[in-house]
Amino acid sequence: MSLSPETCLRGVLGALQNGIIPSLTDSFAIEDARLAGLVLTITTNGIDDAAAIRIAENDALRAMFGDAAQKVDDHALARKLQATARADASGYRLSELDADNAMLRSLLVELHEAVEKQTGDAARAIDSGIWRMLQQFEAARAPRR
Amino acid sequence: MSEAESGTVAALVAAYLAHRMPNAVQIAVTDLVRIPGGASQEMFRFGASWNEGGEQIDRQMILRREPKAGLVDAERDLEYKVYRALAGSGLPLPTAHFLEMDGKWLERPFFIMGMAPGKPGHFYMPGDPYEGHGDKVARQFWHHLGTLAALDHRSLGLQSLRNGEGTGGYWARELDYWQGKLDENELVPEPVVRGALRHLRRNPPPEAAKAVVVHGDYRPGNFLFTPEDGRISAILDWEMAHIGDPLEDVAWAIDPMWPMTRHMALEEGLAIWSAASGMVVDPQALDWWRLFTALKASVLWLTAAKSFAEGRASEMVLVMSAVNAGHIHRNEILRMMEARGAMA
Repeated sequence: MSLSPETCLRGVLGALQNGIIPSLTDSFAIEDARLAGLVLTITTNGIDDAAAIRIAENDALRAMFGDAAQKVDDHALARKLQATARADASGYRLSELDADNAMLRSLLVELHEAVEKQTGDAARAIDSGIWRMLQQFEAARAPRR
Repeated sequence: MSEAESGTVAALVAAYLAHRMPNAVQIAVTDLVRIPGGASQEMFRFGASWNEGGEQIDRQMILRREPKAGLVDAERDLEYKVYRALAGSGLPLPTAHFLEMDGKWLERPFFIMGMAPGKPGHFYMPGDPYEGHGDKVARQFWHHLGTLAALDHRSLGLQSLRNGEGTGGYWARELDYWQGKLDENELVPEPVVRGALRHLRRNPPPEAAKAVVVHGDYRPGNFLFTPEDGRISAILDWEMAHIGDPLEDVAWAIDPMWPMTRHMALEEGLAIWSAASGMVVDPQALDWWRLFTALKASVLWLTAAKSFAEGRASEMVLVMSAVNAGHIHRNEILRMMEARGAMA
């Protein structure tokens, strides 16, 4: 059985905290190493569900775009939303998921700005739906220490 | 910093001091160490001694050097200029001695100032950061901020600060400034931050009661206090200083990431600020500036992320700012937008 990346990183963290930091004498190096330990903790705790979080986020955004495409006044934006909603999702590498997510977030900003300028209940519902969705995304991605 | 590196920098600093103090002899720089915590400037502490006119002089000093990259893209001489201008204003400040813009001495611009007594009360450490003096420190904290707001920036010669020649619309000027920083540093689209930015623009605050010197980063961790008597001995980190609405500093001071309200109720603190500044706080305006605070902080953390991602800086404080503080302030934006009814 090979060690998982998470197990390896926890081992590195232990070595840093229990072996390396106590042997340091320079105050700047000690603080930098302490912060490195915190970064490592957060990164390690975020490995297991990193792909799942991004897949869920990207799926939710595509679903929202499909729904919003029927309700925005801007026809060019509606076509873009529809095309993006129907497009295939990315591969499962984190880099692919992140690139897909960046593209989707860019379109989300465009949609958000458009519905803020649009009147009517449908626009208001999309607007508030975007804020609620962003709140859920942020909660899912919260650093875990 | 290794002993060898420390010795090399100390020798360079000694050579610089000799250049700036031609009448000094027997100049020695000792115990030079880099101090942690400076995300916007590199900070070094050292002892300097010299003989001038037969008098032996010993000083503890601080050297602040422009980083390769970091959180704040400040004008190089800004902080030094502010320290010099505010000397004698009634605010506790270290004495700024020398400004050097020529990179031939230490690769990048730097300035040297006296080391004030005391220590910072870090908000992120467990326990009481002010060692039993929380109430006393909080009183001075608000009084000093009010004192700053009561000063006339023109008579201090600080018109050259950002917005210094402005005649109003300081909220829009600052929003434009931070939107520019967001545009420069946004690695991936930030819909939360962009949404807050548009909301602030659509819902402007009342005009500033008056234009004042805004510290720009007035919070726990950016001043020193003396543990023996709880005195604030120095207000530091002025690299984001500019001219603007005094409520900008008030809102920044009460941000939930570094809350002075942990040591004194907000109402009491604002009353002390009002007594010192001669101004009252408009709650509606303060509310606008609180959201602005979360936006500005978010942009700062994005700047840290970009500096690190592009390999221009390697300090771990930048990574923690990007990862942890970035989340805290996006969450704060979301909390405030929910309170404004954005999610109903």
